Amino acid sequence: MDFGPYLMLAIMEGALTAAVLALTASGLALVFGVMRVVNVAHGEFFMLGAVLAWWVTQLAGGSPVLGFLLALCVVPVLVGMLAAFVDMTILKRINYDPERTIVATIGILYILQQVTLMTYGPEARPVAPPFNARIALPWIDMSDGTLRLYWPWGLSITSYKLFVIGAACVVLLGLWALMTKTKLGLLMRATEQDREMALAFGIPVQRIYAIAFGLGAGMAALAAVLIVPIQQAHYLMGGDPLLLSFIVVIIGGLGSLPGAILAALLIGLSDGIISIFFSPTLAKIFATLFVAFVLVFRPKGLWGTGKP
Amino acid sequence: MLKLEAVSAGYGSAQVLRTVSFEAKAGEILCLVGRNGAGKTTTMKAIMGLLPEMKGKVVVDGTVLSDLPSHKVPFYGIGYVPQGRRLFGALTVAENLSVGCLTNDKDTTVLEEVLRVFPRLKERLAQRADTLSGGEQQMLAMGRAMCLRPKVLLLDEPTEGLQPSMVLTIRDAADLMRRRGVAVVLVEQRLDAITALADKVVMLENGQVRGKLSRAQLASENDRLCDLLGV
Repeated sequence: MDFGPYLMLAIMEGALTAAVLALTASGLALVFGVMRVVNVAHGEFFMLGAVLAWWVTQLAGGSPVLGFLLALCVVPVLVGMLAAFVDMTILKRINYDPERTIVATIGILYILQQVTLMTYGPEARPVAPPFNARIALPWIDMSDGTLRLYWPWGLSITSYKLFVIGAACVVLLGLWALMTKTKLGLLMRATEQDREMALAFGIPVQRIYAIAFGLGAGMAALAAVLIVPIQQAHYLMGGDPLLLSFIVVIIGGLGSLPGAILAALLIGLSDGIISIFFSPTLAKIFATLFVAFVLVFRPKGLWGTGKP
Repeated sequence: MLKLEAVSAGYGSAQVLRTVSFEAKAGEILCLVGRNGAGKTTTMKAIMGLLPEMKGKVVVDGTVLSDLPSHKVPFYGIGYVPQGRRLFGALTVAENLSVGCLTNDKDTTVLEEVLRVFPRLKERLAQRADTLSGGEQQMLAMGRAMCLRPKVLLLDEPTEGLQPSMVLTIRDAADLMRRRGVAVVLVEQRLDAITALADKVVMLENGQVRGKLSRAQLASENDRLCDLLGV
């Protein structure tokens, strides 16, 4: 394959990574932004989303479309509710103290992981994609001086991958609308700005925290449901999304949702391109180096406000 | 209207207030005066229920506020303008006012009333709060608290660092609230403001009430007041 089509293929793969990463990282950014809690268990909520998606599709049986749709609707809600429960029973009790929440979420990480191992087992299990038609992509040939479209061998994407990219865009637009156009979003943003003043104006901060924590975990679970037909569900799959989400959130600026989305695009696309042209390991090295540069030269992140 | 009964409060192991008691009635301005660290801001926070440690009672119209979770306090008509304004800086002026209207969201006329008192805010509704000038920010802080239709309004040094014309605007707003029957608790360091506005003065020192003055006593106790304010 020529360089151009090959690059386009890499960009399409990168866009898929960016879409899933943007969903996962925006959940982490939301939790940090509103609550100032570093949720080390975020990757396990992602894993739980994938594992529960497998359970739901098995329970639904029959058509993969029905099972997948059911998982898409039910799993993020279930994981979000579990996270809100965790917030109310654990994080609230330690008064959201920054150091203790890190230790507590590490504990939650291991509990979720080990309970999943005991109940689901160590196997990686596939979830059938609801649709998976291969779509050949055209490329432009200008070799004889005239513009001509042709379909190079190997330049294609599946309809499901396109769906994942589209669904992520819709969900992120929905999140933006929730945060900027609704009363709940206003209350979350006010709480993020000044917790004490939020209380002084009647905002039930504890409830807002539970909602934000649930919403953040729900976003991770949704990302997992979308990606599990491509990746398979496994009890150790939470590590990579957690690491990449932290990288994205640090680059984007701690707690900044637009920053997280733009950084996800940057890291996702670079990951796709470097993985295809060189190796996935090099892509991770690049991302880690990039975050190191950001920390040295712009510690508040590319779009961060510098708020403590 | 607002009654503090033997309120002792602080931050963790540091006790700041010791058995503070006073009463502010409807339609009067009570000035809380004292040197830095006397416990004025802590008293305001204690009324709002924002302190981790507190003993004693804060009562408004017979309801004991100190028994309630802090986010319920504003629902009993307590408006708070904190020291340093503490606006929601990344939110617009309109959004800040919406947060103020939260406890009062069925009252559709309150926003218009606030914008009549502070017409400057009407021109800035879509602007981020942290891009306003100091005076406009103070108007917004006052307006946000007025959106609650407060029965009690707590003003913590509202004219600090403002130019003279803005100081007058803020004082006029405090006076307007008094005329509307609101009990205003004003923390103030300027002697001219105290003598112009106060119906009652409560003097704090080291977290304790050292004296109370009525409006009639203000002139005769001027030296004591000056000494307490360090002027």
